[in-house]
Amino acid sequence: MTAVVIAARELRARTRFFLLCSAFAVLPFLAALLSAARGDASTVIAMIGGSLALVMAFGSAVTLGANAVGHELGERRLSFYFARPISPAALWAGKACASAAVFLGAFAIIAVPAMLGAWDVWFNVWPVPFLVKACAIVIVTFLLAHALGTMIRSRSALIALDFLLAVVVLGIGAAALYPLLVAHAVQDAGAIAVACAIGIIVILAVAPVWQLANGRTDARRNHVAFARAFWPPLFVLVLAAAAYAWWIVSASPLDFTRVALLDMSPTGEWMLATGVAPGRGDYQPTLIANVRDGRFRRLAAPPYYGIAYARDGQTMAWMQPSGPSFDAPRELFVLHLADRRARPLATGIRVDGVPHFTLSDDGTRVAIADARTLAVHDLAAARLVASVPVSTFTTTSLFFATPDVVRLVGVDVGGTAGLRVSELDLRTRELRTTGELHAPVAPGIRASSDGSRLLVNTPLRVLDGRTAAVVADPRITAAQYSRAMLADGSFVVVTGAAKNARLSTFDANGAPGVEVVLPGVVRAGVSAELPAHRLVLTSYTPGQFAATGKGTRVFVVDLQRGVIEHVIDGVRCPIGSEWNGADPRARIVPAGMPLPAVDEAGKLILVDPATGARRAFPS
Amino acid sequence: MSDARPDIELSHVGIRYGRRVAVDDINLRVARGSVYALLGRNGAGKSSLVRALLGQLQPQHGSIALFGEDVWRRRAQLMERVGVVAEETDAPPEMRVRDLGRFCAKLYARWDAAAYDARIARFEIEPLARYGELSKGQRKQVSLALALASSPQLLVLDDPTLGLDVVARKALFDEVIVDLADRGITVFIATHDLAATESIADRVGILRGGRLVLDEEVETLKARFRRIRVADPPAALAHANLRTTAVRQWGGGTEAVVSNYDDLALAKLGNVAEAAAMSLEDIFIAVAGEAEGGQS
Repeated sequence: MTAVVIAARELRARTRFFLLCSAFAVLPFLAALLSAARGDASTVIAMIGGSLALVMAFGSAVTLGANAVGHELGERRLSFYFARPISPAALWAGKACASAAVFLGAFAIIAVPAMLGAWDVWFNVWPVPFLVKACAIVIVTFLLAHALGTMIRSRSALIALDFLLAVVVLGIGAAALYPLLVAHAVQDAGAIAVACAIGIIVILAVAPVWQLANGRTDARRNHVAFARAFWPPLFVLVLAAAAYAWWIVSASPLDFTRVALLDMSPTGEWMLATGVAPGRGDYQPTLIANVRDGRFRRLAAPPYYGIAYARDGQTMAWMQPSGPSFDAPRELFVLHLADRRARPLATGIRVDGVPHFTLSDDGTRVAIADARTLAVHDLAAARLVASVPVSTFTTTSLFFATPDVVRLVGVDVGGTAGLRVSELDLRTRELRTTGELHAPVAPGIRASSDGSRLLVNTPLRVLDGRTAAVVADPRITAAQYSRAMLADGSFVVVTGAAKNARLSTFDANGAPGVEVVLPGVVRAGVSAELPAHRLVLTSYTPGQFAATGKGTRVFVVDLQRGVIEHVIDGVRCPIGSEWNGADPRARIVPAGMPLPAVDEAGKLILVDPATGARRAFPS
Repeated sequence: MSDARPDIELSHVGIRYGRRVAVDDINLRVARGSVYALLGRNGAGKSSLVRALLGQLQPQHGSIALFGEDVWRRRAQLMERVGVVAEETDAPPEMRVRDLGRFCAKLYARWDAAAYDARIARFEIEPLARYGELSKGQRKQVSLALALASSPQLLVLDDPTLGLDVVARKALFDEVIVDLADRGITVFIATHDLAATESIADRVGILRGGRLVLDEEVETLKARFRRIRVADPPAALAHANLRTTAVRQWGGGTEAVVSNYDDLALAKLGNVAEAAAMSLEDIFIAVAGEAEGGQS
């Protein structure tokens, strides 16, 4: 009741302001009358009316925020209220509510006539969500103006402390949100930001009660009391937000309930998993984990632009946006897997567009091809080794044919250029075309382990890895669903059947070998090549994104004998390089190395291809 | 002092502003129905003490109770029973005199609107005048009218006559005296106006450097203070066990203010020329102004 009495007094004191607003409400109509564009009078009314209303609302919010309490506090007239039976809560509520009525009333007085006068265009010019946000911002502006007014009016050294604390709070907030934004967890970041904003508004709205209850008529004590009511809860809020953000990004391999993409290093020692963990919103944890000992490192973001491993398995590289915006230039990151304490290392190498990149076999160099150039960097020395212009292709595969030669295989999918093989000699820094195939080629180049053979599709052909000359043309007529070149240059094709897919092998010259029926599956892809001509295949359902092993079947096939050694149900092994590595060369997973997989529950597991046994990861 | 619970009770109150001590360890009780005058020079700590007394400033030490309740914690409730005339006129300047009354009427359960209007009329203040447009004296009068219209049990006046001319001072104090006679409210006055205070105060306290150096019934105080003139040297006063201040040479003898005057002690001095009663103002000057250089 007391608050109402105070609010009524405050409103009565601002009667002239309402009259001024009423005068301003006429201006949009006058402007429409005087405007040359009379045919568009509604737009003029809406534009001027809305703008004036917002300006008056913002202006009055700032003024009232700084002065509703601060003016009387500064002039030592707040004692008038404190000498009367008025509680601090009633005093603040009365003044704040009256202020809100003033600045929202000012908006309404100017905006409503303009809205009615320009009803046909008003909501196009000023959409309701925009106006709601604007009103919210006006309220926050009022509260912030009060906070700043209280601080500044005290004229004490505490202002410097406030500034310092504000910087710390902003720093904590930015540090909390940055990992989420880099990981493109926009919903998570947005939810935290909105929760913090609501919390800050509540703190800003409540802190003045504490301020007046404890500071009362003294400006400096008001400042101290406000600071005590404002900063501690704000720190609790921001630290809680930071803790939640930290929890989101601290997922471990055990937390996965779906693994969207799974990959393994050339030596099979490491697996890269991106998926979903419960309670973490749209954040997708991305972990590189050692299959032997379970240790893992987190990547800041899923490697949307592909991943590259050195052939020795000791180094991996990937691209991620260099800032929280998805449109930021991509930066190359490197992780030295052999170093147990190594952290992802930003190289400072940035590119625009969608790059293709590969590491040298020893991981000391990286070759990056974007739409215009092929550049090779020495990672250890952090210097550019060579940079040459290249033609634009739809897809590009590249690898270090030798430590000093980068081979580039460009495919013009659907175009007339077909396929072109080029080599960049790092000693001469010269890019030379070594071969071309002037025929349609589908994306998805595969190569033998040494790069001497290329497997291309539509139609399926084996090409010389350097000259692109056709080495074999097996002329397969059955519908193929997947294919893979093996390390020795031989290749396999999975063709479809009504219920059972069929695996066919071919030698390096395209001569057919054995055929193996893969029972109970329609389609399957090659997951891994094992020593002694053994192959691991995983079934898949077309058009269905498998994030778990539910309904999936893994086969371990002996290609020499043409028999299936093991069938493992309810398990999904990665098919090919799920993160689209640019190096097309085949690799053999060493003997005894378990394969990464996902079980029916979406959990990471390991599969022993020798026995078909599965075990939890980390065990 | 009455044995009943005092309307005002300060216990070991200390107030600091940073390192500066404004009020130091003050104990004070004001009995119900009495008039207490707190005297002190500028900067003695009067206003700080009044602000603390009204629950507007929290002392760093000690406690303050009005009507037996902690004023810091129960200020809003206690102010229902307290009328205040602040040192600085603090009402919103844009408000009209009439509206101030209406505003306050909604805040107090025992608001006497007729009394407010009558006083405003008696002070010859235009009800539609804005508070900020009034003279300083008129603003004080409006403040007093507001304070008394709330039918207070305790009236706190913080330097109510500061900056007022003689006529305005008299009108203001006359109003207080009338109300005192009518209702017997407790009054606490912090003031420089010793002449006006002397006529209405039952008890007086003197603040010096933040400390309450004197807290006594006015009559007792006036009875034990005398300005004496003797033909003897100053040492003779000490031999007679008289506490003196403001000692100075007077012809061949001594003039001094005696703070423990009694006839027997004076009789020990053979050559008393004069023993004059002192006004409250004289006592205040002796205690607050000159005592720092005096003897005891």
